Amino acid sequence: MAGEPEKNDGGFTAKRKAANIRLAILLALVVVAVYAGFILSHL
Amino acid sequence: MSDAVTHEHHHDAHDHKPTGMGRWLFSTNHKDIGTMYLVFALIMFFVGGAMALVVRAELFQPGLQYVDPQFFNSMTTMHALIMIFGVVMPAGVGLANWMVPMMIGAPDMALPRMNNMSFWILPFAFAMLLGTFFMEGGAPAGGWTMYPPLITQLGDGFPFLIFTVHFLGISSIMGAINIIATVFNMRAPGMGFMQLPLFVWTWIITAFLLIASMPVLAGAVTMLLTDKYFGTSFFIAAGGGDPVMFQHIFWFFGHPEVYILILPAFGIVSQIIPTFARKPLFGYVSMVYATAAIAFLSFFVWAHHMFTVGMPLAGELFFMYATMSIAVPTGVKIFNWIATMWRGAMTFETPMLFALAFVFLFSIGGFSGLMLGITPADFQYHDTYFVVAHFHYVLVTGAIFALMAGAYFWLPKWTGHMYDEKLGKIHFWISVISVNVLFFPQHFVGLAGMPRRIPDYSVQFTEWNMISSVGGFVFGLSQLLFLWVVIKCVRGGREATEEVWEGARGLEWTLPSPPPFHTFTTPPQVDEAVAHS
Repeated sequence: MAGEPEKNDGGFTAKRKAANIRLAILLALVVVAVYAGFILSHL
Repeated sequence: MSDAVTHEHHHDAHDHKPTGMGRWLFSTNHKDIGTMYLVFALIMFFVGGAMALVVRAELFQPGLQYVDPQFFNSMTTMHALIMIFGVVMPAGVGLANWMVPMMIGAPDMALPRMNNMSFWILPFAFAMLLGTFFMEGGAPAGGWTMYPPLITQLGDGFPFLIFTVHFLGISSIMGAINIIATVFNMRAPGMGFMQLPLFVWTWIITAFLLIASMPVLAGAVTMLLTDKYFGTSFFIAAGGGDPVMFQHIFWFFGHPEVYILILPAFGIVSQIIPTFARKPLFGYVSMVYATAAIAFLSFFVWAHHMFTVGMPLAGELFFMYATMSIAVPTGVKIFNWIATMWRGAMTFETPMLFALAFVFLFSIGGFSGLMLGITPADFQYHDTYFVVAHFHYVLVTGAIFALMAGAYFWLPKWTGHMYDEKLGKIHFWISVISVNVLFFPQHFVGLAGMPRRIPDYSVQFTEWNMISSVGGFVFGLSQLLFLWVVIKCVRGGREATEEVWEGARGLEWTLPSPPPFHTFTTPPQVDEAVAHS
């Protein structure tokens, strides 16, 4: 397959979709942690 | 493999796209969502602009003319909220939606359904915010900074303001997550981080700023809400709380927010100047590091917005020096833009004119920012029109001019038609002259002591205020010309080529103009020559 561009079905191959969702969940957890941590630290 | 080939063939045969309202309501296409963001931002630009004109009409002469002070305060507050959250941020996200996937060779954003939700939250959030005008107690009037205890005295509109801010925050955070996932996971093979166009770099960094700062704002306004309705005393002095704490928290969000507004503008200008100077961007790597440095430092300067509330001398010194240190990476960027133009074969089409005006006028805003960052001087300038002049140079001749430059730069790519260059240049010259007539005199009245957010003023400030108001109306009305240029370009005009501009480099310029509904379903070959301009 060398030299031939990798086929890509819109970025939604199972592997890439899973990676996108994992990263989104991780970033969302960061957001929730900052939000909740911030309020709790001021109680 | 056979599936993929069939898929490609399908798109070659007819570029399938949904039709009717469903195309927009349920869109998961980055180009359509980008268009919706940009149209929304343009509508809100005129709504927020109309409010600014009410302010300028009232300030045309001393005394109370047209509106009562409460409504005047609503106008300044809502103008700010709309321009920041409804214009500059959505326009930046709109440009990111359109351009980032095409620049990195991705078929779409990483999370297209979330992308749809990010956009559609906005019209409902702003409907809620604008609805406060019709409520008991009127629209928010305590300033966009929402300082307690003043803001908690707002009537029925208060919870709507708080929920609007929450919704806008959720929308921005989802947009930021999407951009990070897109750039991290969806780049075409061969495109490393150091091959990314500067616009993409500035958006990744902006996205991290959003993720770090927006939850802080959300936390602060949640605490305001519980203070008013649930008996807490985070910021109520009588209950043992600290109103000044809100200011610290707000500006811990607020200063990174300034860079959320301006970093994408830096990215746009970094795409445009090399194109029209017909030279690669000077100091690409230093541009990336300077952008990251600005973003990092933005978390350590918040208290320069509140020197006058009182803080320990060590605090004042720390925040003063930290603020000044931001001038170093910003200076690197200004130097690089100028060095890019040095001995370039420059031409001055409308996007380049707006980009050049950006470099020059944003620098004025930057320098007045340095003046404000000097603690003892700030005691004189604080809450005067000098501050208003400063941040309008940063946000109007900075952020808005860069967005205009980006719109002119990419309109031919989006629509497939060249815009009317003559009208574009007329729009530029009227805008650049009138915006200086509008905001430059505000330095003078500010230094002379005119306070901001007050509908009346001492008679000695009359002349400069009259001049400022005339500039304001000319600037505001001249934006209708921009609207006409955009409509004209969408409806027709000379056909744009793929490359559009002679000096354009990058993957987005290898696509047809307008690009088909689905692009880069097969990742492109990335080489150094097209990776970044």
